[in-house]
Amino acid sequence: MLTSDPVTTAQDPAAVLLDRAALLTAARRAGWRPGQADPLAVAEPDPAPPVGPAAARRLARMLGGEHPDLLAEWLAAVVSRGLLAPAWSLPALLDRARRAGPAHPRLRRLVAEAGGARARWLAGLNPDWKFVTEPVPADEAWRLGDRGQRRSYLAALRARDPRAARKLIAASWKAADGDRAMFLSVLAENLSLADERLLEAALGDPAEDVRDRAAYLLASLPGSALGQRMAGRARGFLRLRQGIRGMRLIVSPPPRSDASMRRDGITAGPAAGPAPQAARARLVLEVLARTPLRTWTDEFGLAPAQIAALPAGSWAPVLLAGWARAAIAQRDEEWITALVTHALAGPSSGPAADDTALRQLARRADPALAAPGALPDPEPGGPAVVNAAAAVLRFRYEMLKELDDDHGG
Amino acid sequence: MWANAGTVRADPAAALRRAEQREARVAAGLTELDRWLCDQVRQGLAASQRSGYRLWDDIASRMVDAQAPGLAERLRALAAVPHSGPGWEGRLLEEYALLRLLVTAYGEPEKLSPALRDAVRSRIGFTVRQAEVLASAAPVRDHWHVLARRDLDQDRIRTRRTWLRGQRTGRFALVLSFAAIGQPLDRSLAVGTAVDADLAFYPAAVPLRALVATRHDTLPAGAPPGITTAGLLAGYATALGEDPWLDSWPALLEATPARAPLPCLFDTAGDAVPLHPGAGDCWPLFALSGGRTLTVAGEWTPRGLWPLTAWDHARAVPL
Repeated sequence: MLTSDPVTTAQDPAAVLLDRAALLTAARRAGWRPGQADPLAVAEPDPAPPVGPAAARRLARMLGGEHPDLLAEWLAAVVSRGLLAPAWSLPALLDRARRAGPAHPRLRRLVAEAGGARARWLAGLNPDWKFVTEPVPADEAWRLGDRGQRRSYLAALRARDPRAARKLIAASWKAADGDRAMFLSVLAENLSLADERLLEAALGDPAEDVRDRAAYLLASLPGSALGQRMAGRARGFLRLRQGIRGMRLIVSPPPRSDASMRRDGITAGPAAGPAPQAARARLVLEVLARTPLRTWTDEFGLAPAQIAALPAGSWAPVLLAGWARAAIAQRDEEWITALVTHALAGPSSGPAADDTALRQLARRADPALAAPGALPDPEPGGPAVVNAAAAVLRFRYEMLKELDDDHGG
Repeated sequence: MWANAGTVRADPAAALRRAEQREARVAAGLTELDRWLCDQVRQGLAASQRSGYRLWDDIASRMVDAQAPGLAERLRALAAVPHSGPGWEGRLLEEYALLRLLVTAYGEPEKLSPALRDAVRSRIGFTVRQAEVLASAAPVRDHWHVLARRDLDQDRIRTRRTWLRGQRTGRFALVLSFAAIGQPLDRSLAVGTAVDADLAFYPAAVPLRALVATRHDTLPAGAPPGITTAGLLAGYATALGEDPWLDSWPALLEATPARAPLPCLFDTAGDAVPLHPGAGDCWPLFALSGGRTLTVAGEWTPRGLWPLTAWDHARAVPL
């Protein structure tokens, strides 16, 4: 069009400049020359197969915000079936693991394993992801590192040699005010009765979070003295009574906690607040949560499913919450199944279950409970928390089923 | 309803009058824009980095008043240029120069081919009704591979740009759909599938924009055949010869991503084109490639390639 020279009939120098610039623009855009590139090393081939399309779509939904807390379970299932996460998902997964920080070594390990050779290749390109290829932390990390590096070192040692890790923690305890809670979080892996003495001593620690964590760990430790102390307290206030309409549970909690309870991590204080009933309920819940579940099957001579179904009036949600926490801490599959089945059976069986307890149960229960036809259909008008828990169970069931299909196929 | 026959008869004259009024308004607006562009050049571009979006917003509003919404949109988009990294002055001058070229071209329609005249008018903001598009030319039936999509937010409107490629004709097509912010966009064209459909192309010097006139079927599709970077650049150069304002061109490459000296895609001949700096790290593209060649679809722009889809063997992955 305006290609002849002079390119413009304009008199205004600004217009002349613009007209010439237009020509140069078109010439530059049309005359773009290709450049050179430094090719990247090619990633090693990975013998493991990637997950199938259905599992990949589900992963995309999870990365988009649907049940993001189930991501670790998805990854663990992928790894245990010898599959790989799809390549496109690795940057998002690696970023999640990085943001979770060194305090979540499990997520980092799962992402690294599910990502396979491609994740290692990416980690070579982006220093943010170097944790994938980082070797086991050395002594230096323990002596000179920050808290994250010290934790990584300790966690690796705990996985390799639980006894050595316990000794190192015991030797460092006095000088490590700020690290004690971290020490206990590392001890949670491979916990055994050999750790009990260290944990009992921690019950007297000045820091509340250290005391709480120690009490929680002791409560989840089968055969611990703390568990026996709790069982003694719990048997004192929860009894089975044979009435004219059958058996029911009777709850008669003490009005307040005493010094020995507080030392064992029961924080529910004397009924000083405006709601003494709420304080009593919390006391019951906290004692139950730390009581070995065998206490009840032994004491009542009933199976967990029968105990969960016992009528308990207005105390039922409190008992369910306490047992749920105990079942999760003690990793007791039979109790988890009994409690979740009872809670999902519907509102007719009693007052609505405690939100948090049910949510956690749904995340830990055997997903086979949600096999087709096993769960009642969600009631549109039913309690939201029950429907949400059933949805979580179904999601987990389908998620694992897809991966089983990929694995078998 | 026959009582309205008089109004119906009067309509063509009224429509003609409205059209003439609009042409006059646009012409006056373009004169004003031309003066403004020359003023910018006289004042120098350095100051426009400090002047904020208002500089372009004001002139854009005047173009809206002049019924030239296409120019208004182009002007509003310029507010981002001073913050687009080194070399922004050159890019701003390019855009000003292309705007003045539009002004000049609109003023001398007798020198333009009918197709180029259509391109100029559509960029200024004269719209063509869908019915006219459907009536104007024979639709093209093909198995259209849905290559890529890109959603852009502008003011209160979201635009979805969906790129298609005919498997038989090899033609590219761009289907636009719009929605208010927060409203769902059209999802009928799924990336990675193919549709057996009749497409009606809008009149233009380089016909890309199209409507789905009739949809016959949806078909599965594998990876489309990519071309070389030289082929991409040659195709764009040819298209620019027809329409110098074309700044987004469909790219379908068989190439390998690399990170140095700049993030780029190179083909088997070693020819590299840069990735658009605004596209970010493009980590999913690298993750899919693992250092190997793959098929990539995207938009080629004067700043580089904006990758939108890559194929993991036969499966399309939106980036």
